[in-house]
Amino acid sequence: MIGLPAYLILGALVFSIGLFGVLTRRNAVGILLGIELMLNAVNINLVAFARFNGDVAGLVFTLFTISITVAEVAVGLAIVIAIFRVRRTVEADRLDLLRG
Amino acid sequence: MTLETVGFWVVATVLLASSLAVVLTPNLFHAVLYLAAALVATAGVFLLLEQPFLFAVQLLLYAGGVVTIVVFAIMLTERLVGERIAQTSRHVVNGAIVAAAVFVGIVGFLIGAPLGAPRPAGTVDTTAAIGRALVGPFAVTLELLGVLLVVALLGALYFARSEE
Amino acid sequence: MSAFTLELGLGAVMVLVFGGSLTSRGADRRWIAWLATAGILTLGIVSALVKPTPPALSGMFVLDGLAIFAKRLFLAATFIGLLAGIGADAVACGRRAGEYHLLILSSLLGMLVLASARDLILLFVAFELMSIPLYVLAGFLKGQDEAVEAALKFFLVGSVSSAVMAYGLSFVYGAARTTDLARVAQAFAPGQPLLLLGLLAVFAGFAFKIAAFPFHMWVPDTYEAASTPFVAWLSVAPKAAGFVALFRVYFEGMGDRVATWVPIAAGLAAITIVAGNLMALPQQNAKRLLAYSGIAHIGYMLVGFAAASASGTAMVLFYLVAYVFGNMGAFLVVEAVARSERSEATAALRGLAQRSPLLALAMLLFLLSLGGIPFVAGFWAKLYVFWAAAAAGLYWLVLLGAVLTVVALFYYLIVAKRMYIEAPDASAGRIRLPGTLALAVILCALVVVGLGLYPKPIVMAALRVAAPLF
Repeated sequence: MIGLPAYLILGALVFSIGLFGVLTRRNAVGILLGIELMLNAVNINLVAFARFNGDVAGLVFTLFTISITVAEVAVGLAIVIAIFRVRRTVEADRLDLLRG
Repeated sequence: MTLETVGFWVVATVLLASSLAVVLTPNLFHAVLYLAAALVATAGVFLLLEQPFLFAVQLLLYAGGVVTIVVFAIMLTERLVGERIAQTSRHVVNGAIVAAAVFVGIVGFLIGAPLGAPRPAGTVDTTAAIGRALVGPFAVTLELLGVLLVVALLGALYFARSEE
Repeated sequence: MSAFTLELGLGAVMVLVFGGSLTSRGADRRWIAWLATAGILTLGIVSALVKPTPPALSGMFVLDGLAIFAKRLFLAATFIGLLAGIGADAVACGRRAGEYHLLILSSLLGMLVLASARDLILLFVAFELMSIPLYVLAGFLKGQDEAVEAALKFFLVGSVSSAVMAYGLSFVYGAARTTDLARVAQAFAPGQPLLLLGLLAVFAGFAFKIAAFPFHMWVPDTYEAASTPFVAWLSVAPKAAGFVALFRVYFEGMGDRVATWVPIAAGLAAITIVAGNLMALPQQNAKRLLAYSGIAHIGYMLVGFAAASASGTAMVLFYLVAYVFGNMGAFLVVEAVARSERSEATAALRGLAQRSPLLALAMLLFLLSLGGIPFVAGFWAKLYVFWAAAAAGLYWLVLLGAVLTVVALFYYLIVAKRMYIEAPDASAGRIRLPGTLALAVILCALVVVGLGLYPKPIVMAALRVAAPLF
């Protein structure tokens, strides 16, 4: 039988991979894909906990995070399109998330 | 080796391999396709956890919806720009160190946690329970989510439309 | 009155604004701005009559003293922000006035619910409802390169922090086996590292949202690029909402094991104060200066949070009130000068005392309040926060905060010197500003002075609402 820890470690791996993508990607869409992976890890966690705790709230939580993510992606990509429309360039290097 | 064990390792391998591919491939378009694979594999995880309804939601909304929007956005921006968008990385070593440290930290917490509880027997059908919870205790949260989706649509439209 | 009176009322205002923006034609849609402002004013008056009610929705939604205090503050800040936007601001009154106001109002709806949420799912949805409109509003000047770039940065950082927060919430849920915050406290037994991990990740997510160092990267660019009346509001209202949610999760959800958080919160407070103040020193752009000084203020509020006591919480609430009006006021003066000067550099404030004595006096009051000089609101705010921290034994933090306050005074007084001692450019005439903007500045100034002279009512109210959390 596969226990709860296996699912949680799978989630932690996906979360860390997503974080790696967020930290290293230059392109805004690439960063967004990393964020998607991180949120995916959240859903794995929630469903695993809900299943092993025998509780429905986690499943509801998953539905909400999935819907919110979709909304977020739509807004984010619209901003990306707006940027390309203004700049008409692929140069996304100036976007440094870690510079204040 | 039960069927579930085999299924878990297959799904986990696909999920991790495609996740790594998402963050490593130099081609943005390929990255999106790998993301689709990762999302489908996550749906497989839900199936292993006996949640057919969430499996369907994950496939339709996430793998179907999100991937479609991202592909649209890439095609649109490439058309605006008129060339293929490359997908490069920076600070790879630092990023890997931070991500590995975060993973080790999480696992460190998990090791000390009392997680040995066995999996309870599956309930008949969680779909009905989800539905009842959504219109019962979580009804107001659901309403609020509706407002959120409308607002996100409004915001996305605001950026996407060209001013006359 | 029902527990949802204010939320339902806000929903009605949103429907009115939506209907109005569908039917209006032409480029001048100032009346939509007036409609939204009047709606918020009405809600503000209603909020004065709201009384605490028993928890609704099986305990998920509470309208206790803390929620009411916070909601009044959000409504007041939104009223001033919208009032300042009417008039000359092309963003708030142009063709897209409907979208602009709907986005602000829906973000406000998120804040109102957030202040009442005692369920992790409701909390997360309310947080996102508050945040997503802000990303759009930050890039509302979508024809400008810097604005959309700042919006993208804000969006990416915000989304990452949401993901981290959601990841933390998933562990909290898994360890506590419930999404009800009132029952999370009971689950927090020793030897439950999952809950600790979850709350740690949630804390990191919160730190992003309230822009504590080192999670502040989005602040200066966003503030510089977006329209100033919106930035004035952005710099205070979501931060206040974030603090109220922090109180809910960490004090209500933690029970008597709250001491676990003191070292983490104190450390975050210390580096935020130091970093914010030091980075504010070299700034030449007034909005960037206020952005970094705002980060430092978040640090001071975290000092009160680190005290982890009823008086500490109450003093953060008082600090929030002082900060909301002082900081908004300062941004609005920058906006007033920028309108005639077309520059947001601190140099544009040169000789303001001769060009508009009242505006200069108001700015001086705001700067003194932000700097923490006696007899304006900010002095009491800092004093009370330090007092609460000292009572909790955090003497080193109090000392550090006091030293950095002197550094902060330096850059605030440089601005004051530009206004009062330096001479204006020869070409610069008197500054004319629209009546609504003047009214907003005057309101802020009155609160800052009033709280400075007679802080007692707000302090007592804050103490009263904070007491039940412990």
